[in-house]
Amino acid sequence: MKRRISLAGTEAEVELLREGEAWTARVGETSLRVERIGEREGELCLRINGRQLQLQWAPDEGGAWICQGGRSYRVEAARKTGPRRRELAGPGEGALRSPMPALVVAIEVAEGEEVEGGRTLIVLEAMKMETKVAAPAGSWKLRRLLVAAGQQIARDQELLELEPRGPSELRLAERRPIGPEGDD
Amino acid sequence: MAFAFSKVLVANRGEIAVRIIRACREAGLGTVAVYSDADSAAMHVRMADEAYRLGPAPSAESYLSIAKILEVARLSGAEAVHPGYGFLSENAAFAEAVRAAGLAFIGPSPEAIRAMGDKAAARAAMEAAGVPVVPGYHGRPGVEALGGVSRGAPDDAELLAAAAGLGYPLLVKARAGGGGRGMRVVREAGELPAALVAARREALHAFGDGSLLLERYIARAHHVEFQVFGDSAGRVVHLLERECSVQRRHQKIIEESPSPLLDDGLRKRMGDAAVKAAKTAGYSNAGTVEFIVDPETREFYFLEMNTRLQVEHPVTELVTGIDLVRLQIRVASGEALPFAQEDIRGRGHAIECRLYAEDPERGFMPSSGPLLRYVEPAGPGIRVDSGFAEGDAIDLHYDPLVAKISCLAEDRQAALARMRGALSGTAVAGPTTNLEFLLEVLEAPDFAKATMHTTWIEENMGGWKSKSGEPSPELLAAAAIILGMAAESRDPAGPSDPDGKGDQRGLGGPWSADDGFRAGRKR
Repeated sequence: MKRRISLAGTEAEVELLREGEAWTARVGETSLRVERIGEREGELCLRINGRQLQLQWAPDEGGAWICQGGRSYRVEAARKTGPRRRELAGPGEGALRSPMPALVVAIEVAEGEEVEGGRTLIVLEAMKMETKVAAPAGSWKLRRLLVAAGQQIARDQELLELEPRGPSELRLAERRPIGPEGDD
Repeated sequence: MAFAFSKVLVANRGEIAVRIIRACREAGLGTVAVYSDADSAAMHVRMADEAYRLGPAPSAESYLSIAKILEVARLSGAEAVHPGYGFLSENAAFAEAVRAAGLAFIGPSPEAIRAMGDKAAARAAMEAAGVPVVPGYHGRPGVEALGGVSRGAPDDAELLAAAAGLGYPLLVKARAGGGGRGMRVVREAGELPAALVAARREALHAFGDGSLLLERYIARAHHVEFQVFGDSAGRVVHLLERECSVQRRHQKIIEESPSPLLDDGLRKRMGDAAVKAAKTAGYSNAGTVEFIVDPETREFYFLEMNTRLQVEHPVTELVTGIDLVRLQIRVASGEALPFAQEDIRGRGHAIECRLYAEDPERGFMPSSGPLLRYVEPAGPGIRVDSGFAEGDAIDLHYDPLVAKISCLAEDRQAALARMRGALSGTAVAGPTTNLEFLLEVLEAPDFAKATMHTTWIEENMGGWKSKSGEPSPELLAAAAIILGMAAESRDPAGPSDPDGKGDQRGLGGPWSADDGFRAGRKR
């Protein structure tokens, strides 16, 4: 049986064919003989083309995690349609959200102010680290501030609302959730 | 062995609370844990004899609340308090309040904490004692009397004028600072005003004190620190050094002992300076004197003194064979140091790696969530200090340290090989960690040559990407199998349809019923 899987963002088609107590796996042009050596909760040991591979794994909601040799990989069934983007809509349109529970350390813009992409808007602190929340690429006007300095905020809490100013090639809804950048 | 107290309150969380609880238990002492709402079933809580709630998850309302911790001490009948590191460990008012409540503080005196916590006063005291300090500016002479943290702190105009005399690059530091907070590297005069504003704000927020000082920035410096220990009779020894040059964002991630940079002569001179520094502060219990060393000139300079147990204390324990936490308890109980300087001998080479829940691809941003799979390394010479077990969650409210993985071997090369094996045998599923990043740093030729310096990571590992995006065919085959097993474990009753696209058979299909993978599994 054939499956498209997505492993740490890499998509691949894997075909598994049973042959007695072993399997033949076809990955692209490569054909591999896979035998099971042993298995216990969270651990799987395979022999693949004669070489043993010890794996730690755990299921999660829609796929699984695999750990091997100091690396961790998330695996899931490849989506048939392209990756879905998180849409911001409704009253929160144009809202920037906090990537984590944090303390608002400083607010560096005022309502009505016009800002360009990359400009620091808010400084957050969590886990002993300061994190800057910057404006996305494009030109914006700060419509509304939704938090104040000194305030403790939750993950995904809306921080402020931006509205596009002039021609902006990137719409906020098409951008990934804001990622804070390091401060030091 | 009898101690002056029989029950210890551990005013901390995570791996260090676990470490201290273990030491107390070995010493026959009762243990009291404290916790926030985020930690009500955390490992340190599970391990202690008693546990008390402090308050909501934010540290300010829980682990930083002196009043609540003292109330727990009273309720539980604890007779001593161990502050661990971070949180209230270097808060002189806390040490004072513990003492005023009639309890033993397992750490230095409030006076020593205060004196060394004020970086400007510490610089001045070291200068006076003849310990070399980094050229810098911490205010006009005479104003930096010990205590009164903000007194005599220079204003921006004064700092700008002083900077012109010192030259660039410069380091702006928080006078009350630590852990890289309120610190800025300034490359040229034009950057200084903005750096002063940012550092002041960060320092004010972090320490409640916006006072700043300037130091010459020594590029590509090594960070070498000495573990010191004093007793109440005023005897002070050092327990050798730790090389902590591998840092990201001014925070250490790999430490080792001995430092490959030092020879016996330099070790002796720095060790003597560390002891002198601790004696100047009237120091008792465990502390660390940090130096920076210019690898070109081999000159060393006092940086600061940390008045607490250090995160990286295991490497010292491994090479000296001395249990620092046990020694802390004994000294706090009034015992004299059980050894003299000449009794301290290092043996072999120790390395520690800090496993953090953070994303090295995204500026080391903290990561969080449950440890879906968590396997610690094991084997000869490997030590793991961890505050979590599989199923526990890393909480964004606190420091993202998952575990410290340390190893001891007969020499540096063997220790390095052992550490690589230990990290390869570690598994964390769920939160993103720096595990793969650590492995790559250890594999760098510069690490083998021991030429790492404090800015090596930002100069050499910028734009680092995990290689997990280039999986081998073998791993892809294994992943397809595991994906089937995962689908089956979510829905043991039969074939599932994980992506809801109406497929006849889910990934569990080929592995179910008659297939060998399933037959061996327990349900």
